[in-house]
Amino acid sequence: MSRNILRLLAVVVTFFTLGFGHAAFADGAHGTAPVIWVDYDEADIPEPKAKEAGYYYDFLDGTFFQQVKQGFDFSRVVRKVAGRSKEALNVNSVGGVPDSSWFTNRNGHRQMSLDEIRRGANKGNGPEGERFTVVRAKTVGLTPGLWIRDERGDAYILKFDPVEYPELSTAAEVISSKLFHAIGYNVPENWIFRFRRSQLVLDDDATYRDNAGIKRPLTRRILDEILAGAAQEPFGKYRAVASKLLPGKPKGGFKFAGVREDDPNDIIPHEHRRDVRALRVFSAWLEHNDIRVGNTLDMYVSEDGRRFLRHYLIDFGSTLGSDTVFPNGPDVGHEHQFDLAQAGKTLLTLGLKQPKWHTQSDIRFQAVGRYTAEGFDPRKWKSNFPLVAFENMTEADARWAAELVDSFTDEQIRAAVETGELSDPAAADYLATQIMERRDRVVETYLKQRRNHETRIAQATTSREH
Amino acid sequence: MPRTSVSDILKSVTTLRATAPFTRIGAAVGIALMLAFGFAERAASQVVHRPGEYPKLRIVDPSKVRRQPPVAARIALKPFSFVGSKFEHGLNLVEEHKLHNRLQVMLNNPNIRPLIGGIGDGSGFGGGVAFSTVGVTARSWGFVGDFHVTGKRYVATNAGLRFTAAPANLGDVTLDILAGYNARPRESFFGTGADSGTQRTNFDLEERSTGAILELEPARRLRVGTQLKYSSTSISRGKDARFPSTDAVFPSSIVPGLRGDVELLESAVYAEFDARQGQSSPAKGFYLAAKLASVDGIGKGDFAYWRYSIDNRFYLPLGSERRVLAVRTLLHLTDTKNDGRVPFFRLARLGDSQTLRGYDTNRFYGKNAAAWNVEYRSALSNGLGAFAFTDFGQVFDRKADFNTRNFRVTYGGGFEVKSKKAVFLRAYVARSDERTRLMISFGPTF
Repeated sequence: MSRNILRLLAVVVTFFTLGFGHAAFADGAHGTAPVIWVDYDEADIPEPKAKEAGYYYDFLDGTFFQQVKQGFDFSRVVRKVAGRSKEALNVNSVGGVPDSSWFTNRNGHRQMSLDEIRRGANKGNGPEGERFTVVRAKTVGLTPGLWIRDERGDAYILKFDPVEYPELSTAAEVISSKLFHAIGYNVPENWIFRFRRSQLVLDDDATYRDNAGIKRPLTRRILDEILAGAAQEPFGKYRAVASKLLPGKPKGGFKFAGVREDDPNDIIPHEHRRDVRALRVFSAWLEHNDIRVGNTLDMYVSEDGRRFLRHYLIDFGSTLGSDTVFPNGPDVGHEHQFDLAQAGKTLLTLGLKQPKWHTQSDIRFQAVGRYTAEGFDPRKWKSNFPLVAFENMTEADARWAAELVDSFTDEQIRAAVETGELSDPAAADYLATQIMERRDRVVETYLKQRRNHETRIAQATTSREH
Repeated sequence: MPRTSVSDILKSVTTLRATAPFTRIGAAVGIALMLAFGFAERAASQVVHRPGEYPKLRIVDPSKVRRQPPVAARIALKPFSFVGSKFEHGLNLVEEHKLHNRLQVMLNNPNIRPLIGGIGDGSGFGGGVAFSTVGVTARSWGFVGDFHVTGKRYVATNAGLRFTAAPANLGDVTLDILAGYNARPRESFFGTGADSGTQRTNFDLEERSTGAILELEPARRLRVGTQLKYSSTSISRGKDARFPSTDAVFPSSIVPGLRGDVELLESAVYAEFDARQGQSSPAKGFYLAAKLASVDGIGKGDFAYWRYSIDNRFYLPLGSERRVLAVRTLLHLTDTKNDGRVPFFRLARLGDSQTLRGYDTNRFYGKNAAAWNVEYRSALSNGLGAFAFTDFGQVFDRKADFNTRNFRVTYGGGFEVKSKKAVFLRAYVARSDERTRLMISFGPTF
């Protein structure tokens, strides 16, 4: 009898043991990982080399080179055809993305207060004092820019609106940086900043690069020429975005495929990072059509005695309804800058069938530009250039992103829009409404319906504590 | 003692038929280890991030990350990837050194800029440089000039002075006083008239000229100008050995100006009204240019004629600016003075990248020419467009010769690469009753 009990006990113990073992293994999304909420990718590394990437690099690399390269990745092609694309690698056992040098869980895990939303990444109060020393200027590119030092010695970049479209680009830049920060990305500290010409003084060693990229002394005349290309407010004040220089040394943007070979911490190919893939959903929501390598930045930072790369999204001047120097064209978000698929469709119909978006959505407010929920389909949204990470996005990535988008309340969105300081309340209201409606489209598309806010926060907190 | 394998142990545990004490001990140890492992794993999974406490775990096991193989292995295993990485590296270098900016600045520099491409149809590909010192100093005049040469030894060069002023109500006024030299050693000629034969000949044209052009902008979109030009042109044996020289096939009696130098004095007035939206790739609007020239021979020859030229372009969006119907009318009419003649190299021509595109270059020569282009253009994507076209026209010496029988028709289609500001490249197929041509041209047709 006792022998039989022992036998039974052995069976039960064995069963449970195996069960425990299995459970432990199964906890990891890929068989080995435990529930991890911090992906420790901030180990001390040697200083990487700075890599420059600009518009032409992004265009050629994204449109042609990466397409060909990915086309020769046969396993990817087969998986895609079979509808079983590779899932993201930086996902923990509860389907979350751990904090890292790329991403920090914020509004998705804890509802940020309206003040936190308004503050965003800002730690200080922006340029301080009455005199601002201009140390550098940018004359090339779409909009002029000035590098200044305030009376405390803090350095900022000032970016302006085009003369014809006051508030367009600066409002978009500040509002989007607040929302991307609340989503979880690293962004610069941005403020709407107003000043008079008389408050600017030239540093003795101030320089600018001319159109050929040659460094020259910055004179008053050049400074005035630069400011002539910037929109002014009534009574002669200039309105700009003051973007505080990021801490650390700039090392160039991060790519949307592959890893950075001179960064030992960077072991997950970017096209397999959920936080990079899901940028497609966030970019669609906020019309960050110009998302590309040139609008990201890796900073070599020093924290707690360790030096490592922190990955930032920068330059949101071409988000929401702004295309930086003018409002978005009707094609923005609907097709890539060079879109062979779209071209093929048009060609097959001899140009008779043109996309519907071409005749849609007029501009209601010049300061908002072309940004509307009308005709917005998150699944069909396209950035200016194809990005491999975006093409790799799976339903699981999209759902994760949509949950995050869903986490934004109407009040939070209005708080973010306030930071753009649009002078026309009707324009601000219109913009906030469009952001909310596009949020709802994202949620309807990937989650079917909005979740009860309290339930969502409770779920997020529970999963975080597991 | 009986030998016990792992499978025996597992079997005995699962079937509860341990065969020996050692087996029972082994099973117990195994169970204990598995339990310990299970609890350890469970404990590890309870990691929660606390501020300032980094557990130093990675979401991906670094030991399982694939390392970059050696270069030789990369070339052998992933040649495309390897070439691609080098390509990327090249692009990075371009960006780091701002080469594209420098190139752009070079191309747009008003003082010195490169000239890329040919000097008209049939001249082949070439390059050169144009310069201007206007604006470099505060003076209202400067030196201007250009030098352009192609692989087929076509040469075009001009040099002179430019005076600028901006008097009230006249916009910018410029006066150019220039001397020039043009060499076109392989110009094709098939005879004159609408029914000229298909035998291609070629001749060598050299022209030296000097003159002045005064141009002003009295209103927005409107430019008017006047020109006075002296030219001395000599024709000699064509340099394209594939075809006979023109003088070997055509007698100089029916081809005026074929032998000897021809000196001409030309005075002209012209006007241009440009109401297009987007000059290089218009979606709507129109353009109208007209020129009236009086040309008289100096010295030998009895050359004297009036030339009226009209160039009218019209752009009609078809429901969308992405679909455009573009129509162009070209008219060159010549009226000889007192039975004067027109040197053959100054006759109106059809057959090039602008007119009757399916025919050979300069296929038709005549005193008068009328030509139409009808193009249907459709934007395919940003930067890429497709177009289908038909051209028709004819040359004629007298009004009576202008009739429907003499119309020549070509048709075709192709693609164009463009920016918001300009068409860079057009590649197309053009077909006529004589041949089919694959053409690549830089810049817009019209």
